[in-house]
Formats: sequence, structure tokens, C-alpha cells
Amino acid sequence: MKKIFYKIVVIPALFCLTSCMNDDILPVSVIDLYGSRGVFIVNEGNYLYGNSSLTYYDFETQKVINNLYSAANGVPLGDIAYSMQIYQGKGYIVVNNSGCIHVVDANNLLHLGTIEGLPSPRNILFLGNNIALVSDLYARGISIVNTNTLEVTGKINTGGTSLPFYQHPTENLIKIGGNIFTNCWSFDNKVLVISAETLSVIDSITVGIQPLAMVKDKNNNLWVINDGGYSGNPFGWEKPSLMMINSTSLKVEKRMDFSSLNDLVGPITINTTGDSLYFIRNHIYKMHIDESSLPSEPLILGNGNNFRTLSTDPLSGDLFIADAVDFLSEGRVYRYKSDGNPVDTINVGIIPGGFCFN
Amino acid sequence: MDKGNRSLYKNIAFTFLFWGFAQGGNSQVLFPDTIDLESVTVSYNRNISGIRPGTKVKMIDSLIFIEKTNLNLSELLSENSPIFIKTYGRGATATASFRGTGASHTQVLWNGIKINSPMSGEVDFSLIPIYFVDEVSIHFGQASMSFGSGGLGGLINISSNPDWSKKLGAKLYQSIGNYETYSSAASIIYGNSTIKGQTRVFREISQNNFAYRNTAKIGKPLEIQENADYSKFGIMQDLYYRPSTKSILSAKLFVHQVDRGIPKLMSNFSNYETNRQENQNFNAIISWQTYSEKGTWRASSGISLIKLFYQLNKSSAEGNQLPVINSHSDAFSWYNKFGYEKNLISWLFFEIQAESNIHRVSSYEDVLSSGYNGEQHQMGLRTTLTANPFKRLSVSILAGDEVYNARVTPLITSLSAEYRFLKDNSLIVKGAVSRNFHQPSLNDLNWQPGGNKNLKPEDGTTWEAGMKYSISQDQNNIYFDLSIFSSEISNWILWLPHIKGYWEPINLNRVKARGAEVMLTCNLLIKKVRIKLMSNYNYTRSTIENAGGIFSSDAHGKQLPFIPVHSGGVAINTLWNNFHLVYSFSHFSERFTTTSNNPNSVRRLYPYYMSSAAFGKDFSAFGNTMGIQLRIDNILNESYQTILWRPMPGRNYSFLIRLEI
Repeated sequence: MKKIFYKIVVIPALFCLTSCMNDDILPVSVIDLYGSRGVFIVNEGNYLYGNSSLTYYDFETQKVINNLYSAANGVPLGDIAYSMQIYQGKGYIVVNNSGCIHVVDANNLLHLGTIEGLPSPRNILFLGNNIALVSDLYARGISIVNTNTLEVTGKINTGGTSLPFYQHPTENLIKIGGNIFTNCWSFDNKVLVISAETLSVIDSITVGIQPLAMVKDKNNNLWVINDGGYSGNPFGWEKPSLMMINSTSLKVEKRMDFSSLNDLVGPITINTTGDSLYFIRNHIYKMHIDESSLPSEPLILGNGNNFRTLSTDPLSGDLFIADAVDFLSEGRVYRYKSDGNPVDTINVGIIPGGFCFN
Repeated sequence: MDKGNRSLYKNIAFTFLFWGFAQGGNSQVLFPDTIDLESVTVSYNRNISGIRPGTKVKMIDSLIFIEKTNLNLSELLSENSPIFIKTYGRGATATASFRGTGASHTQVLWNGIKINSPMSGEVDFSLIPIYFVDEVSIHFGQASMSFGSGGLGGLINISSNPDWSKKLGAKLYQSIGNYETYSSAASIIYGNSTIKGQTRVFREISQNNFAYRNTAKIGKPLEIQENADYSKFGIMQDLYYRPSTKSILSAKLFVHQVDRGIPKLMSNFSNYETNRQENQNFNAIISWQTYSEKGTWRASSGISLIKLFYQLNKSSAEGNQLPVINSHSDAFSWYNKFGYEKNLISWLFFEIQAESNIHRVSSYEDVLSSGYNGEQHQMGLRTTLTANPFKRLSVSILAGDEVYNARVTPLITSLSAEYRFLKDNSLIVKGAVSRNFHQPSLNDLNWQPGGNKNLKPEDGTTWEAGMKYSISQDQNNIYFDLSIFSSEISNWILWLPHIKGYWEPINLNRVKARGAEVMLTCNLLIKKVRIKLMSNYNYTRSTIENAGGIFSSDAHGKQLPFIPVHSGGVAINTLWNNFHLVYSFSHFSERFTTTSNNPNSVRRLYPYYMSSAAFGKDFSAFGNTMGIQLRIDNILNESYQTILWRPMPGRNYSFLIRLEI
């Protein structure tokens, strides 16, 4: 009995004492994108999992590199990476639920610095003179950032505590002339107009419920897609809609409602010539800006995919569509020609949600 | 079975039934069949409410309670059972799952009433201090069905019991540990052989400000964990009235409050956030049990009130507080249960249970001005027949039906049997099949936004088989248990992100969970040293077999996120001359965080190896018993996470002093 004991107790116990966990296991490798033309795909990851990532797709070689940021720097990108912009050779990756923007060399992805202390950043717009604006979901304001020091230097107030919910949250930032436009998506129905000179809100335009995204066309008109809210939404629920705003008169000149309350609409993008829109409504649709009604036939069928966002390459006009698949595994990006012909399928990170062309 | 033996068995059954009453309000008397061979032998020939032959029940050894007195139940189960504990950090929320199922598939009873939240269906085991627990039994898979439906993984039964041998006594505990952790508890028992009372109070505070290497930030700086502090307070009151040797009335109350901070992820760069959660729980139950030649009657009525407050404020660059979430929920449950059991003939045992429960939930969030009110009326009727038609064979059949808000669910059924191969009952083979259901929680049905009123109940079909073998020699014994199981769960409920930004629950077509469990327990006396070894190994494959187009094709046949394929542990207790030394080791294999199980995923949860030890001595002081103990957790000072980017503390110590009067 005692011999058995020594065999089944003492030996395994000694083995147990040798165990060791490796907490620091993110593999590191050199990233070299010099001379490459392609697109960065920002993968949101799952909320509170901290599993955002960055993917790069080379247009010529069609080679895909996943986990670009962590491979270059040995640390994770963060929680809910949301958007990315390249400015003066630097990549600015906005990580929403990490409250920061990581600044990297756009060619080798090496970390250059981090803009910290942002409540819930969404998108960044560069104004020149070392000034950038950062929209925010919860801040009731837009942060003013010095791109030289990477510090928050001020705030454009967009709302106050007297407003319900956390109004006004801000999303896309588009500069047209002397004005900056931003759509207020979550529990809101406004597009705010900000003076680029005074950096203050000077006007607002009422649109549909929950303006999700907007783009500028060749005539400097803004096209806004509203998701319409959802059943039980305390702000309301209506049919999703597409609207055109004249950026000079600040009037809504076109409103096209989708047919059903349950239509699932997603973001919007525009072709290289600025005259045709692409948007998600269960499927992918294409519409010329002169049309006065919504297209009835899709350009690309959804086929059960969870289309999350889309964007066009400003040079080739190729259309890139992000598919979140099941939201709990790696997503996919589909590359199409502007006429809807498929080119490639790219395996990316979890919940691809943003594109940045270099 | 001859007449003499039957009479003996009847007497034994009576004795144990009464002993069960003496243990208090909990009607289910469990014997440590993984510990004591004699109990195992006896148990094969008697019928005990809640335990059916052929199913698997494990009781946590009382030695472990002594060593882990100043911890919470999640820490005990993590180190001393096959149950997988998913914890968000030290002092943070911890849920339990086993046999490849989810946390809501683990039913939890406290002295006979269910304490699963009617909102989420889960229990936070970090809220239950060991000071307040006298007995924990684990009912694997279909062993849970004796207590109702829903336990697709199983059931954990927590109970408090009086010590009838003492007229007056008290126990005082004081513990001090790293990270400014202080824990105090007192327990007083009073009364006589007719009326007995026991009062316990508990208070624990911790700054929980441990240092860790932040591997999520450039340069991997050494940081101090912030906003992880917690304070816990609880009272438990038990009263027992035993008018005769055949009946007992008990009333039990358990109130506790926990206030804790929720720290940021390691990769977070935002300014200080106010992120706090407060739980207030109130549980009370009155039970009556009486035994006569005509049978055993049980009746109980209990209430459970769970209040939950959660607040998240972010901070602007100027330092202004920005309210994001301010939610408060009240969940009220009223449980009523009635049971009757009787040996119809000497080899046939009959049991029937009826219950009627009401759940009401009010959940509201101030910032978005949204929420829901939900109500669920539940009634159930279950009956069990257990037979010993031959000396070595026991068979049990259970059938039950439940009604939820006037909707009748299909029958739950279970058939189980065991056969004792050898005369001395040292080798037993067992097997069981069942069909069980788990209803959607009130959050699943009503949450705003996303609640899905069209959800179907989860439908589980399970078979299991196994064997038990024991050897005994002098004062030494070895016990071995091997089980294999397979469950197919249709309509598995899973919350997924919606394209509009919120989450909604959906039914997955089919999930298959199967695996094997091995337990080995040794009791040895080597000279004057008593050694007890408890070990377990579990293999669990829990895979999505048919996602009905919801998951990608890559997910089919892949392990569900966060469920380890391999897990196990070893605990060695040694006792010598009032000294005790305990070493525990637990392990989980890597856990995937995606349904694709992609090895190139951003981050997997690497294999987990954890060691802890405790050393103590009991001695006499001023005519009383005093005990001291030094406990060391994370002996190897591992830097690790059990949830992505939630740091855990390195090696840490706690010192406990106990005084028994």
C-alpha cells in the first residue's frame, strides 16, 4: 500500500512543483511595408476581451499579415480598435475601449507614442498645424490633440449633462470648407456643424434616428445613413434611412427611407469619382448620387454574411467589405472590383470594422 | 436479500435518515463515499433522498474547509473539485461550470433553495465565504435532476449544519493577508438537544492593490492594480427545533453585501474610471421534516432577494465624470417545496416532490432610461422510484414535469443503475441516461435591448457510465472512480453581438459535450502521520456540432471558448500531532477565446498551473482550542491571467488564527 502511495503521490507531486506559466508570449517579428501599397484592416475584437488586432493586405502580392501591431511591438493593440488614419507617415490607431490612440511608424508599425486619457475615442481628423480632432462616444465633446506632443490640449463641447443619454456622441469627422461635420449616432439624430476656425459647434442638422455613418460626394454634399434604432430603443425606432445634406445650406435635401423597420443597414462609402455610393442593407447596394430612390437590386448578395463595414480604395476604386462572420472567431474581408466582380477573400482578425489605405 | 439483512438495512436507513434531520434543514444527506469505505458499503443498501444509484455525487472533504476557512467558495472549488471556475480576478466575479457546459447550467442550492440569479441564471461563487459553509456536495450531470431541471452540467449543494453535541460554543477567526486584506468571522452555537441556534458573522476588506508586470503595455512596466478593492459583510442565522427524535423544524437566514471595484483591462489608457458593483443578497428558508413508519414528509418555503448595482463613469481629459452606465436590478424569488418518500416495500423506495416558485425581476438603467420588468411562475412535479430487485443491483427511475408561465415543458426523465460486482462491494459499475431541460433566464427573454422572447429551452440528452473501485487494508484505503459521459444539448443559448451594437441571445442548434473524469482518493496512516490524497483528472470536449448557420463553418467540431479540454488537480493533506500541512495543485489546459480555435488567434489563454500550501497547528490555550495557519497562494510566484488581460496576484500570504471556546 505504501509503495503504491509513493508512486501515485510523491512522484506526481514533485512533477507539479516544476510547472511554469508563460505570461509574455506574444511573438515578435520585423514588419517591413516600405514600398508596399495595400490596406490596413482594423479588427475590433470582442468587448472587454482586449483582442483587437491589425491586419495588412498587400494589393500586389495579395499577401496578408495578421496581428501586425503586436508582432511589431510585442504587446496587444487593446480593446475595441475602431479606426486608423495615416498622416505624415505615421499611423494613428484609435482604440476605443482602451481610451487611447497608438501612434506608429506606418512602414514598420513600431510604436512611437500613445495619446492617453481619451474617454471613448472613435475617429481622428487632422487639421494641420499639429492639431487633430478626436470624436468620442461618451465625452459629450471632441478632444483636441496636439500631434506633436501627443497630448490632449482641449475639448469642443458638443453636449452637456442637461441632455439625455450621453448626447451628443460624435462619430465620423468630415471637413468641407471651413466647417467640420460630425454625426451623432448613439441615441441621437443630429449632425453637428463645427467651425474649423473657432473649434466650436455652430449649428446642428436633424437627421434620422441614429445616423451611423456619412461620406462626402463630389459636390461636397454629405450622405448620411441612419440605422433607425431598434425595438425598445428609448430614443425611438423608425425605418432606416439615407439622407443627403447640402453642406452649404445645411439643409436635408433628400431623404429615402428603407422599406422595413427590420432592415439592417451598415456604413456607407463612395467611389473614387465621388458620384456613386455603396452601402450595406443586409446586402451591398450601389446607388448613383443623382438617384432619388433607393436601388431595388443589390450589387452583392449578403448570403448570410454579417457585413460590418465597407470602404473603397481611393486609387483603384476596389471595394472592400468586412464580414464579422460569427463575431466570436476570425472575420473575413472580401475584395471586389467596383462593378461587383469578386477579386479576393482575406482572412483577418476578430470583427473587422475599419479600413485604412496607405 | 434475506429477512435479517433487510431488517438491518431498514435500521441503517432509519439511522441515517434521522442523522440527516439532525444535520439541519437540508434534506439531502450525503455520505462521503469518496472518503470512507464503510460509508460507501452502507450507502449501497439504503435509499437517501436526492441520491440515486448510478449517478455521481462527490462531497467536499471536511478537512478542506479547515484549511480554506478564510477563502471563498470559488477558491475552494477551483482547487478541490473537477469544476471549472472562471474568475475575473482576485475578489472578482467567479462562475462555475462542469462537464463542458456553461455557468448557467450549474444549479446551486443553499440549504434546499436555489440561489441562481433569475436574471442571469448564474451564481457568483466569490460572494460565498467558507466561514458560512459546513458542507458542499457536487452532483454531476443527471444526479442534479433529483432537485429539479436545469442542471445540464450538474448541481452544487451548499448547506449549514448544527453541532448538536455542543450546548454552548463559539469560534472566532481573524485573518490578515497581503494587499491589506483583513478577514474576521465569529460563530456562536447555543441551545440544547431540542432547540439549537447558530449565529455567524463575517467581514472582509481588501485593497487588493497587488503589483504586477503589465505585459500589455510597451516596456512592460511594473504597475499596481487599481480599483480592485472590495469589502464584504455577511450574517447567517440558523435556528432548529427538534420536538422529537422524528421531526425537525429549521429556519435559516443568510444576508450578505459585497461592494467592489472593477479594475480596467491591462491595455487600458483611459483616465480614472468609476467602475463599481454592489451586491446585496438576502436568503431565508423555513423547513419542516418528519419521519414515521408511514413515510418521510418534507416541506419548505424560502425567499431569495438579489439586489445588484453597477456604475460605470468615464473621466474626461479635464477630469469630469461622464456617466455611461448606472444600473440597478432587483430579483425576488419565492420557493415552495413539498416532498414525501417511503419504502413501499423493503426493496422499493418511492419519492415525490412538488414545487411552486415565483420569480420577479426589475432591472433599470438610468443613463439610457431603459430596462425591463419580468415575472416567471414555475411549478414542478417529480417522482422517483428506486429499487434493489437483486442484492447487487440498484435501479432508479425519475420523471418530472414543469410549467413555466402556464407553458408545460416536456418530461424530464432519468434512468440509472449500478451493479456491485464483488461481494464486498469494492467494485461497482454504473450507468445512466437522461433528458433534461434548462429554461432561458429572465435576462435572456427580456433584456433591453436584445432580449429574445422566442428562445427555446435548452434540451439536453445525456448518458454516462463508470466504475468505482476501493481497496482497504488496516487504516489505509484507496478509492478510485472513473466516469465517462456524453451530452447533446440542442437550443444552447448564446449571447452574440448584433449588427446594431447590442447583444442578443440566440439558440444554437446543437452542442455536444463528452468526456471522462477520474478521481483517486487515498487515506494512509504512515506511523503517526495521517495522509490524505485527493486527485482528479478531467477530459472534456465540448463542441459546436451544428450551429445552424450562425457560426462559421470553421467553428464546427471546435471546442467552445473558455472550456479547457484537460483539467485536474491534486491536494495532499497531512496530519501529525495536531500539525497539518496541505499542498494543492490545480491545472487547466489552454483555453481558446474564439469559436474557430485558431492557433494563430490574437491571444489564447495559456495552460494554467497553480500551487498553494497551508501549514498550521492546533493547540490548547487557556483551556480552549486555538489554531494558527499560514497559507501561501501562487507558491511559484507565477505572472498569469485566467481571463484575457485581467492580472492575477503573485505569491501571497495569509495568516489565520482560530479560537474555539
